[in-house]
Amino acid sequence: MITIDCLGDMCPIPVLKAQKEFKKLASGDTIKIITDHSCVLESVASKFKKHQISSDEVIVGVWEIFITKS
Amino acid sequence: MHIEYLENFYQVAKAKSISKVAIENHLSQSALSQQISKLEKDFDSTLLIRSNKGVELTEKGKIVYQYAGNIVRTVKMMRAKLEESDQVLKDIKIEAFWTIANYSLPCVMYKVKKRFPQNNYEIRSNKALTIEENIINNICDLGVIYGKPQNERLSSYQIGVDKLVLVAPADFDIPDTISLSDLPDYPLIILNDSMDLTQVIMRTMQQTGHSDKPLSILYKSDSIESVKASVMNEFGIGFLPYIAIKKELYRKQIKAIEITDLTIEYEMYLIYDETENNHVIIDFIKYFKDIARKSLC
Repeated sequence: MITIDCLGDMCPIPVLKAQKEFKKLASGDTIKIITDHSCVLESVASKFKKHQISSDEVIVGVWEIFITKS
Repeated sequence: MHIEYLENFYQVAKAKSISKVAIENHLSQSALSQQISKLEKDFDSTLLIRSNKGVELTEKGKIVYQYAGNIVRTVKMMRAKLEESDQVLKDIKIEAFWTIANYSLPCVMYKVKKRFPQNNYEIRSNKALTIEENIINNICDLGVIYGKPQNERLSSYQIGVDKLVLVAPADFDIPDTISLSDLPDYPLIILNDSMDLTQVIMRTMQQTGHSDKPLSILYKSDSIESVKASVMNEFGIGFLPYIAIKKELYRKQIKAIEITDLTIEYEMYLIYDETENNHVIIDFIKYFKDIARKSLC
């Protein structure tokens, strides 16, 4: 699984990084985005709404977001 | 037909005098008379009865007067709206305490910019008291500080809480939980950023009866990044705002140490001038209040 470390990155940088990596994925593949900015959750949800998204707040204020290409 | 002629006719009918309105509007009496004659020609009706005492409306003049009133008010409203639309593009200046400006506000501002894309935003970091003064003096529009404002003219709204966390290098020989009485045993790097941290610790130590041992303060620094780097280089332990160390905690470059008998929390407040009457700022403050609690980074 490709992991994109976006800690410290402001919106919309994480989404742009994710879009770039997403192109390389085959259907069913998953990428993991690590972010400490709450706005990333919303922007990922709106940019990748056709795909499967789940997220986990691993420590307070840090999230791991998983996007699986449909 | 010129709207200006209609506006002047309306004023003449209201004042019952051509000469008064001519003076008020910086026109010659004959020019104003000609404007009214032109209207009479356009409507093919006599509108005013002129006499030595002034002017009176004819029956047809009364009809024109009634509608002219509506047109004048509509034009006035249109001009006001046009002026208002010039103000929509506004530079909104926000001043916030350093850590808030750097770590808490970016996510809120991202949302705000999406909601009000026509405004420009400028965030500057500053000290709380200076921020208060700058709002009063209209140097900035609103501020975000720790604690309520001291100036009574300013309104405040709590948007969140930040806490100071004791952090140590990941491999440092220190238990995950200590009590305040253990604190003097470790070299401490103090963030000296006008939060009066040392006093808070000393006061709590006195209250809990642990004041016999002095803290072993390595040095004080006013930079979060410098304290963070010192801790990561294993010089000692230090207190840092949680929002500033999330990345390092996740990457396990540092670890958080819980102190059983000490919690240091700071409430974050949005502060602004209640008497502000610019509708762009008022709308902005309203939206900021709505989303800030959920949208801090």
